[in-house]
Amino acid sequence: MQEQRGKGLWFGVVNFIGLIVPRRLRADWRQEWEAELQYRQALLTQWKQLDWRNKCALMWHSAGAFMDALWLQPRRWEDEMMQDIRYGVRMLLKHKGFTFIAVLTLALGIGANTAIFSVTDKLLLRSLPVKEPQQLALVSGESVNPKFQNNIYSYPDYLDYRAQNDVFDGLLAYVQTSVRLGEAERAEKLSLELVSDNYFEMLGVAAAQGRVIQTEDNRHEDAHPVAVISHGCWQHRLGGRPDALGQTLQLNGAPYTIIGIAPAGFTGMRLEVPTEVWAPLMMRRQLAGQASSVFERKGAWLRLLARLKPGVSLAAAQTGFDLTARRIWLANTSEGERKLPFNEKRILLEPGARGLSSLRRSMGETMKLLLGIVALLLVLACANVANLLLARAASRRKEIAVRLALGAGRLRIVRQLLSESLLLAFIGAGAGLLFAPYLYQLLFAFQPGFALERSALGGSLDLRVLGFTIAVALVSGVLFGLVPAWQSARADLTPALKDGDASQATRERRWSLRNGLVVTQIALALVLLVGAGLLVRSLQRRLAIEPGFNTENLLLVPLELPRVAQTAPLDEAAKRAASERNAQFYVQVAERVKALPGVASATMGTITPFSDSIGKTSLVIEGWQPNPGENLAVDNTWVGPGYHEAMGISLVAGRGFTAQDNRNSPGVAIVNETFARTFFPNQNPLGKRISRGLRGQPWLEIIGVTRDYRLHDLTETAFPHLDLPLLQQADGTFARLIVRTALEPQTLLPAVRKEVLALNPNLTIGTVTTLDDEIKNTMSVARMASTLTSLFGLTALLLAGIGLYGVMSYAVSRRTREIGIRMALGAEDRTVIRLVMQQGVWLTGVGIVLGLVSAVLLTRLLQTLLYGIGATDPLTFGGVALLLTIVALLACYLPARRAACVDPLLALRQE
Amino acid sequence: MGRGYLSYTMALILQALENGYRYGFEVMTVTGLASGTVYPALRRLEDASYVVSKWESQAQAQAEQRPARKYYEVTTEGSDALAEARKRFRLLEQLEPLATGKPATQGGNADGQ
Repeated sequence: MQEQRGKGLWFGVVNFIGLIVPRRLRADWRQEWEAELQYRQALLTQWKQLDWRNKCALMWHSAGAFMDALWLQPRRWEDEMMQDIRYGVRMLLKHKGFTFIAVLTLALGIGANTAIFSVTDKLLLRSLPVKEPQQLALVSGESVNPKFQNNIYSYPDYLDYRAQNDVFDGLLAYVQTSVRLGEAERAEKLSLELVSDNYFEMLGVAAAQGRVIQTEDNRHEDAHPVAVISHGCWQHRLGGRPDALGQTLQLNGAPYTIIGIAPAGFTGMRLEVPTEVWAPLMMRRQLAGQASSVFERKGAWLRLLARLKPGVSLAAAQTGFDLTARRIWLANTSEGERKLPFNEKRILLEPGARGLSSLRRSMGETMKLLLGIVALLLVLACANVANLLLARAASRRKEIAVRLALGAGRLRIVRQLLSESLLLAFIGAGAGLLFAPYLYQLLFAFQPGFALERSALGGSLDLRVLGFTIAVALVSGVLFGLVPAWQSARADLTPALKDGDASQATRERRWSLRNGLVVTQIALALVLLVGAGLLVRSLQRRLAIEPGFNTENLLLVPLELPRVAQTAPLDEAAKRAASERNAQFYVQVAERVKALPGVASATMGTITPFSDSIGKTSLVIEGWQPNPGENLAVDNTWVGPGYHEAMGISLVAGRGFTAQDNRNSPGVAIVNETFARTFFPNQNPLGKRISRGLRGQPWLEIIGVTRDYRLHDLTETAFPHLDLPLLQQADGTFARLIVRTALEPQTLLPAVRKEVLALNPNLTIGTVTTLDDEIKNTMSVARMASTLTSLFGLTALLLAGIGLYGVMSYAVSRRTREIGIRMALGAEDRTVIRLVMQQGVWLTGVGIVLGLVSAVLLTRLLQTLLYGIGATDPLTFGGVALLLTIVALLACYLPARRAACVDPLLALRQE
Repeated sequence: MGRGYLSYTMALILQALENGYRYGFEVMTVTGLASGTVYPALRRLEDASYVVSKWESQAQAQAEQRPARKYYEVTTEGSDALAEARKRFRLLEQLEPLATGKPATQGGNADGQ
């Protein structure tokens, strides 16, 4: 028993070795070894075999524990990290105010970066989920009107391009359209892509179930009622039923058989409107309600996407393909037709890896700019937190000095402090992720009629964004944590141990790190505020532009007569009759609406100002000799009787259209001032004759001249424009009802809707807007940019203010004793305030000067987004500098006042 | 330790555990390996979740006036890995099962008396 209870030398050995086992594991480790050794010893004693040989064996076994302990060493590091983090959490909880401000600051900085990156990633970086997307190229075209891209082609052209080019591995055609799904009353709208036979094969997209559209699905016009549906369509519209294949969908009233389901994540070529159904383009007449055959070369309607041959650059392919396209154009266009507007174009290839997006076009540049702005904001936020940390490090000098004196390694201290700042950064990032989605939505909120949730842009958070956020948090954690940590660990022990606070005060330098950080903050805030100021002022300038008509209380109701699905093309006479019927119907609608109470006037127009569409006609002007080779084409709109009066477009000469300007009376036209000045300089334009340059078109007499008005964009310069009477000639089934109301426009909408549907219940009413809204919409990107930069600018101002306030408060607390002595010696409040403010004013001054210089250099990047002011607008620069000065003075004044209230007795007794 | 491939030593230790030897010192005795080899190997097997460790009941330990011992058990994953290793290391099959163990391991039986 004696032997069994008494612990031998080996226990001492195991106990000793246990010292190097990580503390978390130590107790268990010791117990395991001790239990084994003790058990073995007990057995040996029992068997009376505990001789010196076995004792040696036990000793040898216990020595083996050293290898075991060594093997456990890597876990020590994990332990220390846990320890660091635990300690960090404790410190953060202890200083709740500090933690709150630091986390909030970082959340703003990181959250803003996350949101902006998320949008940038989706619009500018991410590729479509297709095979080798980098090889894809969008086939676009430069057209006569630089404002509008001409990027649609006819089917015969497409077939020729596909057969005759030698730069592409493949060329596909598609067009997105909207169709009705289901029975007439409960029909839902659904977006559909009409696609060429090689669409899926070229993109390398295989069906998740069933098969995709192939060559045999696209042979004969109107003969292939088959459809491939998207994963989303299958899930939401068909409830994910397993027997979806072979079912029929009612599309525009006709049955289509589902032959396949596309893989999840693939939603066609457009980011904004995900495609739900794909059908062979041979079904165009039914699905797009077009009368003409797909084999007609005149009508362009298809978008093209090419896959480049490996090793062929975009530029080389463009040159090669342009030649092919031109050859095909010349072979199929008669001499007379070559001059028609829109007919002449040059091929332009654009990278197609990221699909088609109108938002990318409009927002892309702004997003890059915003990315730069939020990066600056984050730097500012980091400077702010670094400053807070420096202030805290000063108050922790004693703690750290004690730890150093007790033998903690400097590296260990740096690691401890860095862990704390990384912890802070990650908490900030977590809070930022909470607020990023709101900012993300705000970015798109300015886009009219854009359903974020339904588009491929919905859902701001994914793994890529999360990865970015983590990286940002890591970088900022190191950025704001490293310098304060290093400074703390470098501390001189003796004075710090004696009394950190007082001895430090005497060594306060003018150019300390903290002051440098505050200067940086002020400079950055100034740059951001100047950027915001320029964008806001530029938006104001835009809004102040007179559009040339009265925008008040003007309701726009897009109307569309049902397109009859036709299987055979109409002859000319039938077409004329149909368009005449349509025009008369629309004029009739306007007459009926005009009679409603609360309606001041009502009229019709095919293209209303700011409706984002364009009409162009080629023109022959009597007595005007165009330059050889010149293709004379002007913008035109078809408008109903009383259009100019209703719109408030003033006529400088002549009269507007009346109901008598119809097919039975001579052709008439109204031009704008720029038209008159350009083509009839120093002459009276009234009575002059023009003709739409098509064969056999009658002469039109100019009966009126309007003031110039803006048609597409408030910032455009006036260009020649032509109005033609809807009743004399118009094609198509689409027109807009224009209603000037005496009341708030939206309140009249139900009455207008009822009146319109009473005339023809099959009429489709599009999204109703007001002209004011449409004008606003053309500035959606400018509004987004100015709102967001203002938001960021004000945040920056706040952060810089807090930063300055922090530094000043700190300085005051450091100089309490000195101030006390000064006051005891008779210094007045005013003198003390001046003394303290001096430092703040000096810092602000340096910051503002630095900021102004940087702003002059940086605002040049804004130039393309500005309208009506220069990138170095002195008023903006001056105003922002003044604003910043006021905020900075306030931030200095508050601590200075506190300093003036110091009780000399208390201050002197402090030590 | 990379999952899936067992060295001979690891396989041997795993085999010993599979044969019913549950404690580190028993494994040492039956395999003839040193404690400095067996214990780190056990930790690695545990990391790879080929074995799990448990503490014996406190009552048993208190009765014998010593701390509770820690024993190891092979998991199903461990068994699978061992089966695979046995194809490579034919010698493993010669490791004696517990019933015919050496005096040191018979101690476990003597204990209960």
